[in-house]
Amino acid sequence: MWRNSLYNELIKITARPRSFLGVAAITLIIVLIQVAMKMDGLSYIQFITAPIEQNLIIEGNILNGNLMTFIILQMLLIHIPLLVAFITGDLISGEAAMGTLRILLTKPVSRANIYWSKYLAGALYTILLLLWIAILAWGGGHLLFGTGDLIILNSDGIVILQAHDIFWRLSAALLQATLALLTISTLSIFFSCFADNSIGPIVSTMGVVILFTLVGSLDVPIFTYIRPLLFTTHMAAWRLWFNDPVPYADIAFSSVILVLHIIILAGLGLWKFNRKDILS
Amino acid sequence: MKPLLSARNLVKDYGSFRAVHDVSFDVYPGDVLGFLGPNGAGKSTTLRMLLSLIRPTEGQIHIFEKDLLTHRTSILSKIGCIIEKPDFYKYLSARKNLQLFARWSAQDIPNSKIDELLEFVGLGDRGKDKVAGFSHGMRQRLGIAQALLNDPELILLDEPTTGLDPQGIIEVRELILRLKNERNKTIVLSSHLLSEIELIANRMVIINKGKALVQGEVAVLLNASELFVSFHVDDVQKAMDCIHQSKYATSISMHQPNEFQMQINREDIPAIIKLCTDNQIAIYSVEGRRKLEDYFLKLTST
Repeated sequence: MWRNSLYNELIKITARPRSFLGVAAITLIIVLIQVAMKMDGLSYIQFITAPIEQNLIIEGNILNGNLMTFIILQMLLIHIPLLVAFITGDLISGEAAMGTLRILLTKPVSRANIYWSKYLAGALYTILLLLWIAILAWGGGHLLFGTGDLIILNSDGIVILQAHDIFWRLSAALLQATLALLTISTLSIFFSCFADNSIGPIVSTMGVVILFTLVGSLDVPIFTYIRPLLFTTHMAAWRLWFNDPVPYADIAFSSVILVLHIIILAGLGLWKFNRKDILS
Repeated sequence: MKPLLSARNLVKDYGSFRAVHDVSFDVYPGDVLGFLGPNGAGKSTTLRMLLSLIRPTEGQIHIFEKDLLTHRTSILSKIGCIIEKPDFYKYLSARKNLQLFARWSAQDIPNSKIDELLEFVGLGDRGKDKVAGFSHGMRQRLGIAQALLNDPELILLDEPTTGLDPQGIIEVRELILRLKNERNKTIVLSSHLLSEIELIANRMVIINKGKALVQGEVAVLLNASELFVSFHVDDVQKAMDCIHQSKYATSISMHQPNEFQMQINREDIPAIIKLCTDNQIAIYSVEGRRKLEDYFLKLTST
């Protein structure tokens, strides 16, 4: 029955045009960035590296597929939560609005089965979306720009990673980003359990993301205690994999916070869904 | 005979509002139970409780001699239903929708069964079309096909003819009658139309403001209730004088300028008509209404 339920949920997601709108938009953005960088990327790189070139001589293919992948991930991972919430926030509430949840819950399937199959389908969509971005950014980047060392400027200075040292970091960073996006999908499914319309959970999810981000960025003493516990503080933890040396303790802490959010929100969502009166 | 479904002292509260108040009833194998009441009477809430879509605040529901709360999935595997509107995944075809629900039915339902059901509800040639393009009547028929997927022993239909045009109402009623007559299904049907219940059901429960007011055999309830017959005539006074001199003198209940009303049996109507025509009183119309109908109309108008 689990397999049937998951299969049904995947059919529903793939049959809806809206599921591919985000994918199409992301594909378009990545292709646009890559074409633009191919045409005028060097002047952009010179602008970025100008301050350090007074002390350093940079040689070789700086504008390469690895740098392009990093740039694209950095740009897109801020916006993907909206796309994820757009699909996962609709999984339960959208069916309530359509009236199909009413029929679905009269079938001989436990509510937990329905909840988890929706959750898994949402998680699969999130993972595939991220994988698609990675494939497009990395594959397209290497095809257009070739390979090379990765030079990253961050608040601590410059990090130079050799070409052969990047792929495993990228893979680990994607797993880390997956965890962050799964937190978003879990949050939107949680809100979805309370609503009978599609918009509410999407707006609520983005509202929480914006609120937590604001709380995390404000330099108010009381927030310094809260900040490490907010999932938004750990949304960009994937970047830590590109530090040298890799701060494993920080990554582990971020992962634990994100996993705790996922467990608590998924549990609360299931609790609510099991008790939900279907009035729509 | 043991009831197939037994609801005892069902109560549902929404905050301080009591939507269903101590409702109890039984459904026996082969029954078509009409659940009759005006809009907002608590019919849908009660049916939703029978399907575990809503948790009762109080009361017990036993279906197939099992408690609904503890045996939900095994009970639902033998139930088919349409609750209010027949909603489907509009972006999928009728057949795909049925395949989807079939996979949730805890049974191995072959595609041939789905095609057979589409045929049964008259949608055999529309299986590949997306539901988005279906009329309300077609969706209602698809809803019935969906309800029959698991060959249920008990079918719950909540206002299955609401929103349909006259042709659609006839088609859906015929389908329900076929389920009763050809497939011998036990059916619980809610409606706000007494005439519909009278046509389809053999037993009924009248519910209003969350309370079950009357229940029993439809035939017994309707036949037992006295008949009010209105006679529209050209000369009410003359007609009244004639009747006062007959054995029906005490039957007259009221009169208006062109109409008088009598509480009589069906069999007495021809005698009254003869009495009038023998006295050269022109009768324009004779209209019979049962006491239960009046009672129900009174319920629905308040």
